[in-house]
Amino acid sequence: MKVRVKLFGLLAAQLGDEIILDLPQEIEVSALKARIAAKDASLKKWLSLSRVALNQEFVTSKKIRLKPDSEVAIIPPVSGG
Amino acid sequence: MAFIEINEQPIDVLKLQQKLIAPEYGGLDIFIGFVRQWTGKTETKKIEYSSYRPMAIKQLTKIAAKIEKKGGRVVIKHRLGELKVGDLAVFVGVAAPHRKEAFKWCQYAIDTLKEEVPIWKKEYDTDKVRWGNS
Repeated sequence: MKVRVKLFGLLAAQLGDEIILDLPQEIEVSALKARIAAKDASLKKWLSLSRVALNQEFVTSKKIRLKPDSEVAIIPPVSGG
Repeated sequence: MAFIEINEQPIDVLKLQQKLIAPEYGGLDIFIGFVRQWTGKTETKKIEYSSYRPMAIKQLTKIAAKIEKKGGRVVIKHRLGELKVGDLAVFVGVAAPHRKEAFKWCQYAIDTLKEEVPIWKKEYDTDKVRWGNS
């Protein structure tokens, strides 16, 4: 299923604000990050430090379940304030 | 009811402070973060703030709700866009019945903001550009 994945910070600067990935209904967070790292290996370190958000909530489990309208975002280390 | 705002408009401290004054409170603690010129030997020229706005608002609302459940009032404003040295980036104000809670809750709010709220800074130093604290 095609899922839009939002990117921010350095990740967005390298790959754009959003990428569309063909993902299974259920995917491990690490596998999702690996799919993005495959687009730009230099982002590996940042991706390892990043969290994933599903429908604007941080994911705390190892796997996520996706629907076509799921809002997926990769959240690099935040630096507000 | 908490007031939460994330946008490019400058931070008006007095206007935000006014939202925190009410008869049930006796103290108010405000944290203001602004753009610092020097970090050790690194000189900052400007900072660009960006956010995942809807999620950031949600996260800030959660922080505020936790404090307001205990009896405080919360006002948080984070500025986005390009800020130069000295520009205010964040305002966190917490009113409480007594000073002890005001200090404690305000510190909790800004510390949690720095950990859990999807806002990012791109820092332009005199010799390089870096994301966050990298």
